[in-house]
Amino acid sequence: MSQSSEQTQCYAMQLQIDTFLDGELEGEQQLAFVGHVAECGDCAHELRYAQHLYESVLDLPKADFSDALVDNLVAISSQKRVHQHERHERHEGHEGHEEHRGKTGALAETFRQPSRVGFFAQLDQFFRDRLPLTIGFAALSTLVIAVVIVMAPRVDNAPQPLVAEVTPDLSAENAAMIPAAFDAAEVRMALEELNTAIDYLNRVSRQTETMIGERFVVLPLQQSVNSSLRRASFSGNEDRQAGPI
Amino acid sequence: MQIEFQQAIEKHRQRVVTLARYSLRSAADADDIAQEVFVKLWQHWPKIDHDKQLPWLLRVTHNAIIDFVRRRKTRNESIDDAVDVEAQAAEQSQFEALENNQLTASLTDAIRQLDDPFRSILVMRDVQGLSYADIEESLDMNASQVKVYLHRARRKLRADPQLRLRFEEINSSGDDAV
Repeated sequence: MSQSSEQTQCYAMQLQIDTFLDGELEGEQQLAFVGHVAECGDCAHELRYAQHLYESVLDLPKADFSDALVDNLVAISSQKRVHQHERHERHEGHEGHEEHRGKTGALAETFRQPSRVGFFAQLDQFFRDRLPLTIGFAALSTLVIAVVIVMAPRVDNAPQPLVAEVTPDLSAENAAMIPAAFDAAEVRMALEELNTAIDYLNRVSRQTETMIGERFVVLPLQQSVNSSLRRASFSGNEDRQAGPI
Repeated sequence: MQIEFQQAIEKHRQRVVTLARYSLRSAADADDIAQEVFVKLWQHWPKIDHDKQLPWLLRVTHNAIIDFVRRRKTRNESIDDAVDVEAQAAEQSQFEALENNQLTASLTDAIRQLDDPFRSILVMRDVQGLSYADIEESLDMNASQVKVYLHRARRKLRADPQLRLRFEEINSSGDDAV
């Protein structure tokens, strides 16, 4: 066997050392490994070294911390109870529990130190600390929903039509239901005055030979006045003007 | 709940501290990490699946060690070393007495020099004898990943020149005695 193929075989066998030490080599692989180690001094040496290290690692001491630290941890867990008790009593107006402080070491202060986390984390902690889980969850959900509603874009931002919508034509029956906020005679008088004003506007426009009245102002106004008169269902009235005066 | 917490400390304290001690040079730092881990256990007590308490503790310990090492790298190393020396000088625990054995001391140093997750897996499996299932759960890996990392960690240890030197010394003195 050439030197390079021996080296390759040794390398392959040494890769299997850990599997062998874990007892996971089986069948032919195990036989091949054991056979090779029996013949190869270098691999046997490597196996002894690996086994020695493995056993040394297994024998390494397990660490433990002092009972004082255990006491400290136990105190922390009880401290939180004391802290809650203090808060409860302070709420009822009782003071003077300062002697509880400083008994459990500096680490216990971690429960007292103001949290550096954000507002929402504090809020979450508040709900978890002070309320039962279900109530806390419900309250938090309500808060979230309220925030979503407030933050949601308003629907009434829809664009307004450039032209006012035409009001539905009221029948005579519906017209009777219009609250009598105005006296009918007063309305009639106002409409006649308006008609006179339009008539005046029309004459002025003719004199100045401008077309402001007939097409863009007078006719639509005239029609509007007439339809208003109709809707108001005055008895016996006819259109004041049928078109520009 | 408080009694159960105390029982959890008693049950798992050695595992947590051992993982921290074999990861950090300073025993005081390791104790701080262990304490921090148990404080977290207390804080998260209601939310923890207590059937998987040990993997949870090991995962938190592992992460705390990584965070600690990362923080230390950003600090002044010379100050940190001075603190370490003081802490180690002050500490005369049984653990350190056992470390006085030269091979054990070299081995401990070599383990501490391994990168994560090689170190954590080696400590969990070979030093502490944890099951593969617990290690998988702790480090969020599958069985084959854990085995691959473990075998590589052992090979890295074997490649450590100090350890090899110690072994050769022991080996030659054994041969001489024969």
